Amino acid sequence: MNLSRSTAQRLIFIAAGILLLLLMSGFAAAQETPPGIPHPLEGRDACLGCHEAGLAGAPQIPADHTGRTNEMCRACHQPATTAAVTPAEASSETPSAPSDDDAVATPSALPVATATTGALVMPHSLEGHQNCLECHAAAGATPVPTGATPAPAGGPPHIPHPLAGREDCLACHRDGIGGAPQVPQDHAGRTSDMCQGCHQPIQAPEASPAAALAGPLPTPIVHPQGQGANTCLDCHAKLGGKQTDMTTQWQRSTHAERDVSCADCHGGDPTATTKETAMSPAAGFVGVPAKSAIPALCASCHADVASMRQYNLSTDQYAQYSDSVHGKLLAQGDTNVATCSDCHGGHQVLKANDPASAVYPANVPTLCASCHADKDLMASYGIPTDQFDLYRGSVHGHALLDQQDFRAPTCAACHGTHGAAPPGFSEVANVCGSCHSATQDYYSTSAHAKGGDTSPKCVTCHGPHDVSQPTDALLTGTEPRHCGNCHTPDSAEGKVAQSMYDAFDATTQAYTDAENSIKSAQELGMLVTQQETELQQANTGIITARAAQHTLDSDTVMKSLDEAQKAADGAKAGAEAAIAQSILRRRAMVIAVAGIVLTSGVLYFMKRQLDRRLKHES
Amino acid sequence: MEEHPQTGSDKGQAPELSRRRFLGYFLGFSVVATAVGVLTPVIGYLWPPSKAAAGGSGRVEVGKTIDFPAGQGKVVPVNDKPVIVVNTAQGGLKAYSAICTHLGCIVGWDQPRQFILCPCHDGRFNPINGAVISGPPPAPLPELPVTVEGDAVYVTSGSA
Amino acid sequence: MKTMEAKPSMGRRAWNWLDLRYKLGPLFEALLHVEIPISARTFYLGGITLFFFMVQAITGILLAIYYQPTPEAAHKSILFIMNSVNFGWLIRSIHSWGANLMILFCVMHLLRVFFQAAYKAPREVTWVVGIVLLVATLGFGFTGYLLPWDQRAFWATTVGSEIAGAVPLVGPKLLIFLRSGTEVTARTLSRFFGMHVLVLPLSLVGALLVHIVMVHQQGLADPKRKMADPNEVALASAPASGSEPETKRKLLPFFPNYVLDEVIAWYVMLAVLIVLASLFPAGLEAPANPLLTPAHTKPEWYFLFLYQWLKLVPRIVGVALPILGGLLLVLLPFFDRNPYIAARRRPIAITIATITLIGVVAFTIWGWRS
Repeated sequence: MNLSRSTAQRLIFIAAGILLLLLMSGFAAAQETPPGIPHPLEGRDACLGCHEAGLAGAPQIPADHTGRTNEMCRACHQPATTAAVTPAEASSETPSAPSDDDAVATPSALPVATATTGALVMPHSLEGHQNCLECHAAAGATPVPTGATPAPAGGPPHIPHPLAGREDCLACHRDGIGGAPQVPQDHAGRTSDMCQGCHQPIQAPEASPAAALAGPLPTPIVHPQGQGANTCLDCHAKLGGKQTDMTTQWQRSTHAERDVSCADCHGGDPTATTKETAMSPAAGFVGVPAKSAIPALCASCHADVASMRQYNLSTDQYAQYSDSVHGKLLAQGDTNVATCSDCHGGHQVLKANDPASAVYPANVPTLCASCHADKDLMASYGIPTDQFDLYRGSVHGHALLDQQDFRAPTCAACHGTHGAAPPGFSEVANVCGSCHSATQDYYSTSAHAKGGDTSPKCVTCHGPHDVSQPTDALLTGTEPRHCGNCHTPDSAEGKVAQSMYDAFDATTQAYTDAENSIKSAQELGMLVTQQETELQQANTGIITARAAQHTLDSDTVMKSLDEAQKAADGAKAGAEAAIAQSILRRRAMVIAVAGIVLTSGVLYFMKRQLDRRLKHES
Repeated sequence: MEEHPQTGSDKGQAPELSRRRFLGYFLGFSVVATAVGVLTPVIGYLWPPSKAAAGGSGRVEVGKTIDFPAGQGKVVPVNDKPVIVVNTAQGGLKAYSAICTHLGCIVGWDQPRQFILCPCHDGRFNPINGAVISGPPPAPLPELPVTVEGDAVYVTSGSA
Repeated sequence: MKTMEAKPSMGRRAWNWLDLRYKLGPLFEALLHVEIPISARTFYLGGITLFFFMVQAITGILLAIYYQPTPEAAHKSILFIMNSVNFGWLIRSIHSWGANLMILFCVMHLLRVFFQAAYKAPREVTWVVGIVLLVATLGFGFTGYLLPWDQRAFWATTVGSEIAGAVPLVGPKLLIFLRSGTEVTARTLSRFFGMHVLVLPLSLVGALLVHIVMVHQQGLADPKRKMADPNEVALASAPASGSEPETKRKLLPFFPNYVLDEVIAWYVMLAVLIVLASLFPAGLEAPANPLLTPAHTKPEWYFLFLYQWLKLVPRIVGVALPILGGLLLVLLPFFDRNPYIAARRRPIAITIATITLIGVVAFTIWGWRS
């Protein structure tokens, strides 16, 4: 048999073609298959939405794909499940969280994001990690933080401190500086950016839509204390300007008195003599703390019962602050709000009973006003800025700021100090009643107290910040804060108000009359001590009645007013009697003096006679 | 008085005499009036007054021991000043000025809660020593000495 | 002179009965024989001072019947006298005003004697005894002021005794002696009461008797005489020699003329007392509180000039001058060698006295206003 040359050529050509095809498919299978889809497909059916233009880091479709449509993509591109991809589930959730109790769903937990960079990259090399199950043990037992407890056995321990300012893990943990656990041998060669691949920071338990504050450090930052050496102070004091001011301020503070010094908040080595050593990250130097980290920093000592017990300081400030308006806003990332240092000072932290302290009672209103009276600052929150002016003109403001009477409330007394929030309307009576206890007791029996949020509380009639001296006129009239504003004069309540007003009017008039009579008697030189005491009794009755009017009960008020009226009338009667007595005396005086003058005249006449006789004789 | 001879007409003498006699009578009346005017206050003064007086050594009897049982308090007048007398198990019989040190209201005894209460602004005082328990009063109530003789209770007021 | 026409009156019979037994006639004759020159112008100031003393003695005795000299009771007893005792207000007010007037008239009497040079020979010792009377009167004022034991009394006494303590050398001891301790206490009150009611009355009455006897012996000084003459009294009682009738002074009968004048003056003063007591009754402040110093505290008005003077000048000068002045006053008749009586012949004495008087009055007013 003889094949013709043309047939052999044809056979060879076909064989090569098949071989080529095989090779190509093999190649495609190996390397040149279309890249897998490295992201879940839910909600991402319109491939070209991103890939046509290369949006958000999505690889742009190559030129030779021009004209293809979304439906065609899946023909070649499959979701990545093979090859150099870790056997991660096609979900962007952390490879864990079988339970949803933490919902530590925040992808930011794993700084190695998966969504944007494409393939789910194994965050560590495989060297020494041949046994995946060594860490990723059983399903569920993976290094996910579940709270403040240490990681379960076998899992990488999580990071017990906030990360702000501490990006360089190895600065402490390589050599075990400041009590930081040293990295184990098998971690040799790893760099700081790798740590968080396995070690997660503690997450705050609240997962409410609002973010939560970083919790207090479990222990204060411990840095080598150099037996009294404080090179921070030695250098910074000599630098002049703001630097020296800081040191002077600190030296004046109560922290300085208790040996809480620079390194305890800022880190660093206070025994080192060079800047590089003292302020090195290796020494734990954190510099100026970030605003959002300040509460946690202060709380590292001040929320620790064991440390604060010796000073008899309470430790609930952090907890209160977390629940306050300021704390909640700070947790959401608002750095305009007040934190510990804004009120207590950064370096010059003084006790609250030190008159130089910003939180000294007389200084509190100005302190709060430093933000709350700033229109630009408050504009974004929609909070009015007139509170300080209103307070300044109020009886409380006068008492506190003009008379230095610290029984009067500051902003903090009603709004709370660390847990600052304006009291709810229904809570107002309890806030005011913490001082005005008698009035609160009366009020609580009244119809107003039982009416819920629609009936008046203290601030309705007396004002919140602009509390002014109340007068009897509040009982009449229809302006706001007057009874008539809600109750028409001919209603039953309006009549009660009017009758109370009339009763007060009559009794205070009786009191004034008695007072005037007593004064007249005193001016005439009469002693009226008993009447003065009766007047004081009348005054007692009137003041008691004024407090009792908050019961809205005529009978209670009239009881005190009747007693007052009786005492006033008695005082007036006594004073009038003394005045009458004085008039009587003056009349008697006139008669006696008239008699004497007359007699003297007669005697003088006799004297003249005698003188004349004498002259005649001589 | 020198005598004048009774000569001359009665008419000429009469005005002289009557004026003289008038003056004499007037003077006599004046002397008597002066004596009365001086003696009346003196004797009236010496006559003991009917009103109750400050007893010996400046103390006033405020009642009998049965008037102040344990656990009770009462405001009584002592020389025109109000005084509160209390009797507690721990402190015994005590007396304080009843003028509140806040704004001068008259304090009272709160029977259910067993302390001295000022009704004006809810100032409260400890019945054992007069110290302020709570409220606006800035100073304690001044204590006054109490003495018991037999069954009579005396309070001494005034400064020492 | 008895007539045989009618039976003598009852009074006359009583007089005769006593006269028979006690020779009252010559006794009274001697007592009432006080030589009063017709040109004498006393303005009855000495007599008025005596009148006020008698008023003070009577009202003082009455007050002592109700007053209780202990800190606990003093204030209350005064209040009792003012409010409850019949006419108590009158007795106390008269006593209070009487004290002021007695001091005023005592000083005016002193000035009259000075300006009329009646202190010169032969009346030197009368003057010294008079100064003793002045000191006793001021002592009455000072001790009596404390007795009500109110704020004014307590603090005026505190301040006043401080002035006494300013005297050099003996000052601190004098202060402790006065106060019966370092502070004004109950012991001070007892001491002042004892002084005011026993020591001073007896001392003053004794000195007063001496003073009056001396005046009685010498008669009043004639302001018109030319010169002071130590022999004046001896000469006057010498048997009248016919040679110089002009030198025999014309006399005013003590009784009834001068006595009548005095009685009129005393009556007028009584009226003044009644008016003052009725229109301006004695006041009483809050009970004394050693822990509470009143805003304005000053001593009694008659010490104000001293008080103000001490405030003005350094202590040494402030104390030295009054002491010097006091010594000068006591020893005046022995210092003053000028025998002349007429004012124009005594320019230095008159000038010094006038300036001192104006100064004292000015300082008193100043102390009152400040």
